[in-house]
Amino acid sequence: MAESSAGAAETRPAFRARHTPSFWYRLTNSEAVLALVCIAPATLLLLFILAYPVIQTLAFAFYSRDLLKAELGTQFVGLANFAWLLDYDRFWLALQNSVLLTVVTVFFELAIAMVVALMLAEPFRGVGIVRGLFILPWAIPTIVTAFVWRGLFSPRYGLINQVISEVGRLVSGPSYQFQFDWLSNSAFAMLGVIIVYIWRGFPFVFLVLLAGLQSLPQELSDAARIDGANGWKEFWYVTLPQLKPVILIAVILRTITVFNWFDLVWLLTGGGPQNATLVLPILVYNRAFVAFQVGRASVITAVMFVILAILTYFFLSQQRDEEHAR
Amino acid sequence: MVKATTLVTTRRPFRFRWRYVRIPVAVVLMALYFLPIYWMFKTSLQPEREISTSSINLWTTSLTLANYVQVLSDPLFATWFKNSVILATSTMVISVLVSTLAGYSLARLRFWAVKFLGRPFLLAYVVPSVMIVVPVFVTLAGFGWQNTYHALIITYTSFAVPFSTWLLRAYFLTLPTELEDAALVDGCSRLGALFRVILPLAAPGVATAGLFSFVLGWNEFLFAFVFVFTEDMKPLSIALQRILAQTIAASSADLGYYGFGAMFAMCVLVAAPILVVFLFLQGWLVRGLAAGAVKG
Repeated sequence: MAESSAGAAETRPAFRARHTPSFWYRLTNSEAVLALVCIAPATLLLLFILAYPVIQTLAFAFYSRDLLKAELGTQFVGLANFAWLLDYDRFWLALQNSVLLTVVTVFFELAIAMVVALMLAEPFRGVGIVRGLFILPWAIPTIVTAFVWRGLFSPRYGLINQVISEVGRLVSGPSYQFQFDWLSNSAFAMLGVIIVYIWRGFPFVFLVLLAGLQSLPQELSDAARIDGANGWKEFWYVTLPQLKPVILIAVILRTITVFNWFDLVWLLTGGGPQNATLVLPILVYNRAFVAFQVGRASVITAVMFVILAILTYFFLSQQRDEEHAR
Repeated sequence: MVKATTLVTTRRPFRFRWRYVRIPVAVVLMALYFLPIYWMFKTSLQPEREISTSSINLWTTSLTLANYVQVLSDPLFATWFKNSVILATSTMVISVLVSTLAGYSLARLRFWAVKFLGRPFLLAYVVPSVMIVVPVFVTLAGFGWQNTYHALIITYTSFAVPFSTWLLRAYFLTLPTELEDAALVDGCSRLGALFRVILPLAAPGVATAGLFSFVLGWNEFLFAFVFVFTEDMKPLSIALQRILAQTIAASSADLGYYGFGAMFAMCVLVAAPILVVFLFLQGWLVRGLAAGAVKG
């Protein structure tokens, strides 16, 4: 029965119209509606908690709002906050520190993770354990990371000073004792922070690169080897170009995270000593929650946001070029 | 005959063989890299008087559980731990659910508006959390939500959703459409196909997204620091920070809230739940991230 009526519908369009699904049926079974319904919770959440506050912050950049002088309320000041920022020495210092911290951290994370991933890409007995222990710090909470490293760097109990003391005792007699407060020294604090950042960020980069390496086809490497490429040439001309998309992703994700990271550096040094590790997120925090100047804090975050948005756009267009090239 | 062999062996030039050094070098690097975590465990098991010393002690014979007993017998620790469990678990469940639907929509369902929504999801990752903490706090405090679980859960979820969605979308793209089509032909609805066919296949991706959200909820510091102000609502990260500050400010180790050893014991206890889940899910984690990284 059903088959014959379907056949009839095909031959007689006028009759077919009566069998088109109802509006309600089309609504509940349409792919477009389902697509919208599925994506709605995530979109609403992002609009409410991310987009709206971001717009609010960008707007605040043009207002003066001092929580300690509530009677002044919120006043439109145009570009006054930006003018203030240009003259604000600590902003330039923090920007410099942030860029230094981000560039050095991401570069060394990537370089070290590349070497280790190449070592561990091919399986051997016990490779799972070695890989697992390399990934483990990813699961250590930030506060624990900060505390353990403060312990390692600490003048009295720290392992680093213990090692130096032990070496010193071998050289200059048993009474030698090395006491140096690494994170309280303005020359070493930034280096210390960078070391902890690399330690903490390494697992993510390593995982991404390892995954990328394992998904590469073996044929190209084999062909290169047959053509007489040595290990280094094979890596440089065959493996690395194929890994480029994966490396791009790792770089941009790590750059964003490191540039925006407040918790770890705040828990390690709090921006000190003598502003040696003052980075932009800490400056924002101090402006907003210590000085209670919301407008001025917003200007700094607006600048951070614009820097990262440009970088991300650049990354996305790079990735699109890659896709077109393929 | 003998001459010929010597000739062959002497003629062979020395070649640096990567594969002979790679395993020992990797193991040595791993040991160095793992040292801080080992040091934390070791110190947490040491009696207080042994910790303050200027000589290296990488192992000790006088192991003690006294530090753990001290932390675990603190009634406040149980409260903090419970708070962290509630925050992290809720964040994980809600964000996996929301991101699964969104990721599926982005990966499989064809509709122009959805295509248009894809890119802002990645852009959401760029937003610095210090940037939005003030407006989010003002908004949620306007609802009277300060010092509540749900204010934190909703913010944590929104932080976890962009990355999870992106990861799950990438994982769904690696799965063959044929399986889904077969389910649809057999009379399954679109959502039925998602939950009965796609999700079991996407287990590594889902596990990775879940672990990511859980870790985020467990570790988050800044928002909890700003939103929570009573002791009974504090998660572990905030509690640990306060104790840490007290211990460092104290002139000697036993004037702090805990001693130095007990602090490390607390660190281990804070890290332990994640480490356990992590060790179980590790295999899936590599596969889950692999799809996300490679498919972009």
